[in-house]
Amino acid sequence: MLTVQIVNGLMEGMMLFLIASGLTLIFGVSRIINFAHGSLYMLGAFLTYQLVPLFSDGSLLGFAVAVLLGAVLAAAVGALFEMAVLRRIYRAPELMQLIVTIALVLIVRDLVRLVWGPNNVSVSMPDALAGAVQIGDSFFPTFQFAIFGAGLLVVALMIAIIRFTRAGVLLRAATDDRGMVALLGIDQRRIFTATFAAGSFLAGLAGGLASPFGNVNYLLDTEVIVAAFIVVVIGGLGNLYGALAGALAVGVIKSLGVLYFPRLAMVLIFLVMAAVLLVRSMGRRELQR
Amino acid sequence: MSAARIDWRIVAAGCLAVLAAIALGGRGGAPLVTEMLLMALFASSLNLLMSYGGMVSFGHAAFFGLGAYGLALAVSRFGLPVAAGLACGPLLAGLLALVFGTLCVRLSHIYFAMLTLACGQITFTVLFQWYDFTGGDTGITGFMAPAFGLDERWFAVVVLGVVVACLLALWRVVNAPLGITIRSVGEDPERVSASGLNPRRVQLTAFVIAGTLAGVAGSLFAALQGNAFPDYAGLGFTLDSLIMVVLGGLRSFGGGLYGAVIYVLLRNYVPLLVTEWELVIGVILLLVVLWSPEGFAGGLQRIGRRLRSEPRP
Amino acid sequence: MTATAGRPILEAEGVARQFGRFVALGGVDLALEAGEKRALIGPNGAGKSTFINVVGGQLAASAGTIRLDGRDVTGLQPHQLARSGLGRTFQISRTYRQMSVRENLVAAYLVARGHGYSLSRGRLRALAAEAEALLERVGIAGLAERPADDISHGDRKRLEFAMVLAGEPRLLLLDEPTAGMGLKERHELMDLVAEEASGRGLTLLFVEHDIDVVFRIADRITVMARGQVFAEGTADEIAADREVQRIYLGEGH
Repeated sequence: MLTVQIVNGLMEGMMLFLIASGLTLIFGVSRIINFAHGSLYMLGAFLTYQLVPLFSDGSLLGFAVAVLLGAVLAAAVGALFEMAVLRRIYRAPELMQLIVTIALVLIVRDLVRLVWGPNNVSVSMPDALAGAVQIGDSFFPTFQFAIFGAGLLVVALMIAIIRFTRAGVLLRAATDDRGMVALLGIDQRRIFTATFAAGSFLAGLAGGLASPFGNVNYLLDTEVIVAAFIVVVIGGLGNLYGALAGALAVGVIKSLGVLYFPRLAMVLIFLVMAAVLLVRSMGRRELQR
Repeated sequence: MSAARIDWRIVAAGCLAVLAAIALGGRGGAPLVTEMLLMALFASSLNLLMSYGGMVSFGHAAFFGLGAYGLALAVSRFGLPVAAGLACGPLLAGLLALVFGTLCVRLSHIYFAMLTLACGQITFTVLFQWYDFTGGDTGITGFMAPAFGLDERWFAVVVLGVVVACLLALWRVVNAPLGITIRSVGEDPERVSASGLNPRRVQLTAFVIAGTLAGVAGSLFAALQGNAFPDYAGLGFTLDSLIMVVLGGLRSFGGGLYGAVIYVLLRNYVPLLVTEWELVIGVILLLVVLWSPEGFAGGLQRIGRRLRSEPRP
Repeated sequence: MTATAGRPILEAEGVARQFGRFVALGGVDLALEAGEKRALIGPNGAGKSTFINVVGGQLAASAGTIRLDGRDVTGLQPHQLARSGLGRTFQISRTYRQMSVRENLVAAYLVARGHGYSLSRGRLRALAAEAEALLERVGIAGLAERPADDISHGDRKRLEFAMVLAGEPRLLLLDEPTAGMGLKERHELMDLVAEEASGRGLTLLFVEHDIDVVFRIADRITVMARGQVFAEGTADEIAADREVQRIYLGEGH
């Protein structure tokens, strides 16, 4: 039972990482807490729902194409939002940046309800992933492994991009020191737009990948954003590797919590989040400039 | 935001307008006005933190919810009379504000916001999951007649009295030395510290005042509805309060008040025209941030200056 | 040397501070006699600001002890130090930007007099007159109604200085009080500082790059380099010190 829960926890953790990676990426570069991240996830899920019938009769490839296309569209929405709204208020207090992302949450939620209605929709599982895998005496849904694999792939790709490409160099520079990018002679606005697009892509990707696994409805946004905040905070805001570790830890804590104290599982996670914030603050009492 | 005396003419005019709305508002008028007043108090309590203390809380609804549950639990589980329950609500909210605040003021900026989020969600989850005591997601109902069984119009008048008293007290706080200290900490805690006062204690004081006032609003809201649900402490209400403050106007005492009136009106009347009222609020919020970042109050001041044809500051 | 003999008001012994592996302060010893005006000079990165921040409590010391009036105050928080008679300004002046100049000073008085939590509006009226007088003294009374954000850099330095004076400190730490100011403004501000310090019997420790200002104001000078005290003496002694000239000329200003 314990192993089962740990495996389940890791699987869920990888899903959480997919969700949180984009959020932490955006925060790292722009210092913006994007409340609309969950909305972009939801958008990815609904777009996948819309696109799957066009490309797939249960084929894995068709599903993958639908998910990727959904993610690209989510990226476009994110980039558009950055260019049309956020760009105007980078110098405003951070609260204002936060408020416009909350405005985006409201707008996306109603638009989703307008287009797809208030009821649950479901996305059919690709046939190849519909079965189960046996480990020891236990069976696990194949689909979870696919998600886990996709998560690993995203991690590998992100590491490769960050380590070995010019975009990665700029990203690291922008995360460490905003001023430095300007010194490199790069238009900082393009970096922010690209980051928002990438972060939104990851949100849309996560939403699309998760869509066959549960109900898709217009309430997903807040559920997801809270989960993503927890992971990002535990992993360290703006820290990608931290987000991975945090996501896996949260997944495992949650599924073990469900096993041992089912009612307290969620409280436990928030307590961990609070504890992490407080412990981190110990070393940060000092003068901020 | 300059310190000033209370202009009693404005207070009187406002009260008269509210009384007129209660008297002439027909069947739906009194409950709508009551909701507006309670949201005004709730948003104004958050405004103390945001506009004066420089603290953005993502968990303020926790204290609204605790105010509601303080009343509901006192009456339903401990058999206290409703009047005593109405004191228990704000007390519980204030007490938890002291506990959460002690932790939260150790952090600043986004970290403060994230810790308030955690505290708020802990409150919500406990209310949601502790079936034996809080009734879980089914909440607590039937512990009292909605609005004490009073005529809704009389209840609205009672709420008006309480809310006006609370807002006057808040006005007193922000214009007293304590208010100047809270603003100082909001502007530069490092300077306050170097001047000889512990900024965290000032922040905690503001946090407890704000939490208690949110608790008053929550208690009366539970009394209005005759129920208490976990959602009262949830992220939805927290976001509502943030939106109200921004719509009404940051850096202005009236921000919470204006914002609540605008928000409650929009939420009640926009759905009569289009179903997508959140879309409308979202767009308005975007427009406010982009073109009038100091909200409705800021817009009013600008118009006032133009009428008196003063130059821009 | 004009400082009268007496026990030191400030004693730092072996004060060290590291940031990760970087040693910003490598064991600084420094003692200030009551009433003296001491300049702290040295090339950029010498650790002057770090030292001020450690003494002021904004940064914790990694090692060493600090005594104020003979009392060990190592590790105390800034507000506790301020209540023990230490006042300071910052390199980039810290004021309450959205509040008016008068409100800034009233806020400083409220804290200094222990009325920070008071609900009595009468206190504000009582302090307004005092604030007015002090604004007059530091030469910015005409700006009382303006937001602190709205006044010139130099005037903001004056405001911050007034806010510190409101706390009636005995020891005054000024971290580059004239940074970014023009020559004339700079001398005027430092003359005001010297006058107030002498008039109130304050002890002064200030970081300064302008060597003219240093020689004009300071009784004694401490030269820091690479996190250490490199030399200490009267203006004449320092001016004659070959080694001091070498680090100034050799390592940039």
